[in-house]
Parts: sequence; structure tokens; C-alpha cells
Amino acid sequence: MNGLAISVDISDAVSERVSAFISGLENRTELNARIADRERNLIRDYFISLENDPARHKTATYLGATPSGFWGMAANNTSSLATEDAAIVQVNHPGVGRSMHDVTITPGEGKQWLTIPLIAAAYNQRAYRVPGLFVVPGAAMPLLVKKNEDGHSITPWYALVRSVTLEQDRSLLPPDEAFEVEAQEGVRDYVDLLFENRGIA
Amino acid sequence: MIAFDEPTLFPEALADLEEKEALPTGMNSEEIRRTWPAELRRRALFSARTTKADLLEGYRDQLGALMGGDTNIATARAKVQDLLDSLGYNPLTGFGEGEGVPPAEAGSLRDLSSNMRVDLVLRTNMQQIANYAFREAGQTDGSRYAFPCYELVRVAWRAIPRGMRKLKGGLVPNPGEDWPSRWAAVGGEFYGLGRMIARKDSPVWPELGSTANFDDALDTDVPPFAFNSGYGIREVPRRECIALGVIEPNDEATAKPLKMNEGLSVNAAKFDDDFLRAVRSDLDASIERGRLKLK
Repeated sequence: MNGLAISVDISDAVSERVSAFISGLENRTELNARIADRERNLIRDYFISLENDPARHKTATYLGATPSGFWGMAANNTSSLATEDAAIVQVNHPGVGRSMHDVTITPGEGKQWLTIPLIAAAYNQRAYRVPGLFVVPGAAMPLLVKKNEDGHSITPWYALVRSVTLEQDRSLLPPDEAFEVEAQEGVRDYVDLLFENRGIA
Repeated sequence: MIAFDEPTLFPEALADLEEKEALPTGMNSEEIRRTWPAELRRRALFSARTTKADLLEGYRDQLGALMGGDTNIATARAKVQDLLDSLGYNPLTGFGEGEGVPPAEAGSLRDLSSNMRVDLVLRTNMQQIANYAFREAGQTDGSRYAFPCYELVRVAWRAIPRGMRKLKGGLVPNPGEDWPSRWAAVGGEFYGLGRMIARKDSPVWPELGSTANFDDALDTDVPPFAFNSGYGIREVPRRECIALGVIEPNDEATAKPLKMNEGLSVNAAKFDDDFLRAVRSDLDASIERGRLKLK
């Protein structure tokens, strides 16, 4: 599974009274469910905002291609999990780990090169599915090119590289403070539920 | 403190995917819609004019990999196209004699191997399975109380959104075809600055996805509500719903009454009202401080 599992412990972010309240609970599964739902929605909404941010589609826009819907899919693949001991949000999506550390992408098993798209038609495609591509040496790196309809000229489709390192980008997830606020909102939702249980608003 | 680790799985969604029955068919979309009940369509893995069970199983594999975060859409599409090659598919001849797949223009939506077609099948199924799991997770008593409503929002970016067309000088609306128009047409109300919010059990959700209302709908009560739609849902917290006037403070979360589980009742009995009020007040103060800190 690729992606991230995120758990939040707010014991150092709440008052002594709230801390005593949490410690005094007989069973914390529902409390953790309230926290996990809050955190899941925080992350899900954040990914939706990334998906709708034109600055996040720079490569596709530059090439004139259609964005791949990367962050919308990340939002879809975000789920929550609660147990007696933990509130966890899981993001099953490749590339989200980059929020925590640099990510170096290397070719898959049996492959030597990564393909970097150079034109719109090449974007969000696997090069081996494009008929008629062949390798030529480029000035800085080898290129995958295709003959144009005139039979003489060529169009470069992909640059070939051995690896790509993407630097850590913490802005791919909400800030730590937002996680803490939502965790506290989850505790508050739980307190509201206790009042609801007694019929008191 | 926030801790990060490797994810395990997306259990509700993967279970839903595994339970789907592969139903090969030579029918087109319209015939499927007319003859298969909506519930059967929801529980089936199928695609119009897709007569090979092997192909549907190939889709299932790729959907599982996508939902596990183990692949991306370009690789998943290429694997499905490889499978179509190995099954001898050709847009002009289909799978061969007697398979009931009519000739299609290469690269078109009817070409089972086109990028457009494979992407549509992968994305539609992935969104439906993920949103079904999201909806199910939101039906617990606690979740219906804390998040009583959904909001209809754009989840996937589109260069030309539904209901818009591109003219010189930019995008212009096609009145009646965009999502706010559909929302109003099925009785949805707008809150704040045009936000489309309704209770989780509101009839607007199945109406939005009903072919009785919209020709391109998918007869579903979870997104995507229509073919190639970039709209989805998000949960709205209770206090925000009350502040916007979507629900009243004393409204039941849904028509289905809340059942307090045993753990909740035990904990409710443990603390007196004054203590709980003080806890709530402490939380309100620190939440407010946290929000200010974010500015």
C-alpha cells in the first residue's frame, strides 16, 4: 500500500480538565471515531482544495494537457479508522508521502528510464503504449521521439532520465495546528453527543 | 502530536469492490439502464458492450491497485489496454465473430481500448466505490450526529465544467445544465453564498443521480451522479449546518433515530453536567486559540 497513515495525539494540546475527561472515559472508541472523522474531513477537504487550485496543474497547463485528477483521487482514497487506542486517517495514494520526506522515483523492475512528457499528447500516458516512438540522443539526455506525418521531421515526446527526486513539500497536507484544532473539535463533538444522550442541549 | 506511518487498507471500499459481481454484456448503456435495476447495476462490475469476464476482472485488479495507492491512472489504463490486446480486441472487429461487440471508431468512447473509454470506466467505478464507502462510514449514529449534512462540491478539476462552454473571451454558462441548476431542479436549497447543502437523508441525493431527471445520470445516490462528473460530496459539521440554517439545533440527525451505544451511555453517566459544560467551554477556548494561531 502506498500513501500515509496519520494519527493524532492531542494530550499536550488540551487543558488539564479536558485531559482528565479523556483519561476518565471507560471506552474511547467513539471518541476516537469523532476525532478520526474530523481529521479525515480536514484532509479530504484539503485535497479537494489542491485539486481546484490552478497552480497545482502547472505541468498539464504548461503542456496544454488535461490534468490527471491526482488530488481529487487522493480525496476519494482518504478514509478514517478508530479503535479504543487510536484515531487514524489513511490516505492510500501514491505521492502523498512527499509531504513527509523527499521522494526519489526510479524506473520500475526491468526498466531503465523514467519518461518525462514534453508535449500534451504524452502527458498521463505510458510511453510503451504510444506506437512509433524511438530513441535519439538529446543534448542533455536521450529523447523518445516520433516521426511526423511528413515522414521527415520528428517531434520529441519524452525526455528519458534515470531518476527524479521530488523535494519534501509539507504544504501537501494541512499544517499541524489544523490537525490539533480538528482533533479538539472531535472531542467537542463527543461531548455534544454525551449531552445528546442525556437529552440536554 | 501527529504521527505518520504507512497506510494499511481502505477496508470498506475494497470489500465493496470484491463483492461486485462481474457481469459481461453485449448491451449498450441505454439497454443496460432500461433492463437492469439500479440496485443490480450498483452491485455489478460491468461496462457497455463488454462481453469478456476476463476484461472485467482486469478492471477489478486495476481498481484494487488504484484504491490501495499502488498504481496511478496512466499505468492502470495501460494494463487494461495490454489485457485487451492479449484478448485479441480490435476496435473494428471487436473480440471476433459472435462476441456482439459492434465496430467502433478507434479512439472514440465506443472503442473499448481508447484512453477515453478505459479512463471513464476506471474513474467512474473508483469514484462510486470510494463514495459508497464514504457514505456508509457516515451513517453511524455518531457520524450522523456530528456531520448531519453533505455539501455538493467540485472534487475534480475540469477545464470546461459541465454547463459551461468555451467561447472567445472565456467560459460562458449554458443555463439549466450546470450543477447549481440541477440542484435547484431537484428541490435543493442554497445556503450562504450559494452553497448546495442538504441533510444526509435528503431526497435530493438520489434525485440528482436519477435518469428520470437527467439523461446523463447514473441512477445512483452517491457521486458521481452523472457520466464524467467532477462533482462530489463533503460532510458538513453540525454547528455549521445550524449556523447556516440547514437544520435546527434540536433536529434529529436524520429520520433514523440515534441509538446511543453502550459505551456512550456509560461515559455519559460518569460525568456530571457541570463538569461536561466546563470541558466543552475549555475546548471552545482552545479551538478558538488554535484557529487564531493559523492566521
